[in-house]
Amino acid sequence: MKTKRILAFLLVLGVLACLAGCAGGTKTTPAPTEEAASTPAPTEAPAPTEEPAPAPEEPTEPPAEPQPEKPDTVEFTDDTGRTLTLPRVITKIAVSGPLSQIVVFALAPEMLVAVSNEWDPGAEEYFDPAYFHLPVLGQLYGGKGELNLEELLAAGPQLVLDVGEAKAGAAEDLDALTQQTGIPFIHIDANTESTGEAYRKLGSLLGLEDRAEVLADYCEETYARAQQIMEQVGSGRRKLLYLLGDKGLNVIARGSYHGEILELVGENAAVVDNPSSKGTGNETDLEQLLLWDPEFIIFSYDSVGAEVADDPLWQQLTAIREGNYAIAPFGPYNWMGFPPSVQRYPGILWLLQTLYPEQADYDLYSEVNRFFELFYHCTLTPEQYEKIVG
Amino acid sequence: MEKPRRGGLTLCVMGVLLIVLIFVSFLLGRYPVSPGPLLGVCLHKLLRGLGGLLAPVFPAAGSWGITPFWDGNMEAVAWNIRLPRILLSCLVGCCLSTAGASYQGVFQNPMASPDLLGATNGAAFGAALAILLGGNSRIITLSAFCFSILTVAAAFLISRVAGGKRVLTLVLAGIMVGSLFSAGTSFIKLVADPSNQLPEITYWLMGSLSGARWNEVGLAVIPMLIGLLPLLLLRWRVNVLTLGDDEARTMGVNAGRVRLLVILCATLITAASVAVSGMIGWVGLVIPHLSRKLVGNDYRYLMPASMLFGAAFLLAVDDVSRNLMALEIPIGILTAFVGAPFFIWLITRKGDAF
Repeated sequence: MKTKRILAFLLVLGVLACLAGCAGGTKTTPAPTEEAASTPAPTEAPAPTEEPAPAPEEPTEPPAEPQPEKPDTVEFTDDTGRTLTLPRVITKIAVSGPLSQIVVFALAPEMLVAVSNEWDPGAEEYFDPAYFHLPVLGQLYGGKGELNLEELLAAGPQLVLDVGEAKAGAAEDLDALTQQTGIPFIHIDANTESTGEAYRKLGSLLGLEDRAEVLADYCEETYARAQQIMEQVGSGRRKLLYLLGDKGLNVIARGSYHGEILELVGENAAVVDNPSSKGTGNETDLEQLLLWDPEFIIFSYDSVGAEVADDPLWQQLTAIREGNYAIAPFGPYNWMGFPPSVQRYPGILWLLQTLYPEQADYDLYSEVNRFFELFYHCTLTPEQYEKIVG
Repeated sequence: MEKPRRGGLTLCVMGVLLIVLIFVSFLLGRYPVSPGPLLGVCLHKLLRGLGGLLAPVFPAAGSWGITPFWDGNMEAVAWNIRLPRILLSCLVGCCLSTAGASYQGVFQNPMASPDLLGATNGAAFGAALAILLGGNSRIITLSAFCFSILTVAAAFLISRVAGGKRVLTLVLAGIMVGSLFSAGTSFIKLVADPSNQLPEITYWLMGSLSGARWNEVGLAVIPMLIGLLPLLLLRWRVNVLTLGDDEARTMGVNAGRVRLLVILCATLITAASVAVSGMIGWVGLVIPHLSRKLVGNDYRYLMPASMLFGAAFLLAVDDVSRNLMALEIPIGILTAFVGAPFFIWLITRKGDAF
């Protein structure tokens, strides 16, 4: 009886091992070619700093070849203040999360060896299939996450980019990952005002200064243009609400990080005691909406915008009764900024034209198409544009 | 005298099996490295470490090592990524399963598991709080560990203040304090930013060994050993505890003190495991029962069997977790997926009552 049990135990463990083995074996077979292609990269990566093990007095690994007269590496200080040694010529990069992915994709799509998250399924009809079907490596959450480090090494990037707001402990986590994998993990700060600056930094890092300048200019021009239009509007700024949620009863309040673009193009009527920093905003109710009495309401793409016209409750709001509301465009991401990334720029342009058609008298289609060409590397047909904005 | 010998044999087989599994796991991974470089890297690193230690005595030892016939990636994969993770999954599996076996013995309850006194709920709260406040991964680990210990300590103090049957009040206090902390975790999830913090908390709660590093192993191994060794040495006394307090006294065992010590050790190893791995359920509840099927109820064999079986089980599941797909699958999900069908098959087999 006992031997039988031991046998059963052995069997299960054996099956588990095989299961793991098969999966590993079948998927890893194509990797050696990639490995061969990427072999020059890792040797240039900072090998000396790569020792987490004891033995502090260890000499550096390859002392045979000191720096030749033309160094293959450069020093780079990222936005957490860490100085890293990087290859001079960078051709292969990976990203740490969805925000980095959108920002970096605009600048250097051909350098991405993989993405961290699958693209929004809606992006398939716009994106180049080669980019849409990039391998997915998974996202980092702090120092851990779905990102399989061996898979990352097999993909062979020369560095991993983390773009966005820096967390307090980011430097230490990124340092640990750099040490563990031998691949430099680099953080670049970015938010709506500093996206242009972030692009310039990325451009100098990746040797794509010209392309980065175009993107940075677009960001800054759009921002400046919005400010200019708002100057023309002057005291005619409209009182706005941005409502979301499946009942339309969540609101992005004044002062919220996610409401930046609302305050840029109008006056956010939602004043609450403690604005939530969450992308889902603060919860509210219809009574409060009546009290705020906004002049214009924007509904998020997945909210109740399509139904309010026939809803007697919503009809009590002046803005709804008079038809002063719109549904925010979505494609491939939410233009109102969730995740808060570059698709906010066409969002700003759309908002301006929706709210102030007289002052913002540009052709929105060609503006949006320019954004798609620059940031998503594809042209937007008028039909596709209609689908997103219409 | 028939039984002990067989128990000993089973333990030997399990030990050998675990070692084989460790070697097999070392060969498995998403990055292709053949066995030669793998062993080369390990030998090289061991020689280096040894040489570094001996260098003051034998200066020649400082230059020990193997000339690399592998590239930097292979070294990173073998030494920095794969080995710490294998060790960590063995340690965590061993600890969770041992803690489960200990709690089951102390509380005389087959449903007891390492989270009985709220240790995992406390750890979850601590981790969620650290993520909310923007801590890095080390702070998250430390916060989880501290809150885990704090929860059990609170439960223990409450049970001291309350009268009545001590074991019962302790379990009840553990459930209450645990649910308090899990409510706290829910609240943190509610206020966390859904674009970055909430997914991070959710991911942590699912339990994962991804990104295991040497310093994590070094950090966790100390409390783990401090907890595991007494449990291994006290295992005969746990047997006596299962007879009841009066019988224990007649055998010269102070039941109260032994119980306290066992709970303390089991809590320590649970807290250390959960802090580095997140919530990994199932192992602590079921592996002790599976071990019981193999070696019987005698804690002299059950305790080491749970340790070995737990380590082997979690290692095998983690192999699946890191090899099955390009993305990491959180191991907390897999333990139940892999383990539950096996357990069901085991308890429904004919002619083999549980």
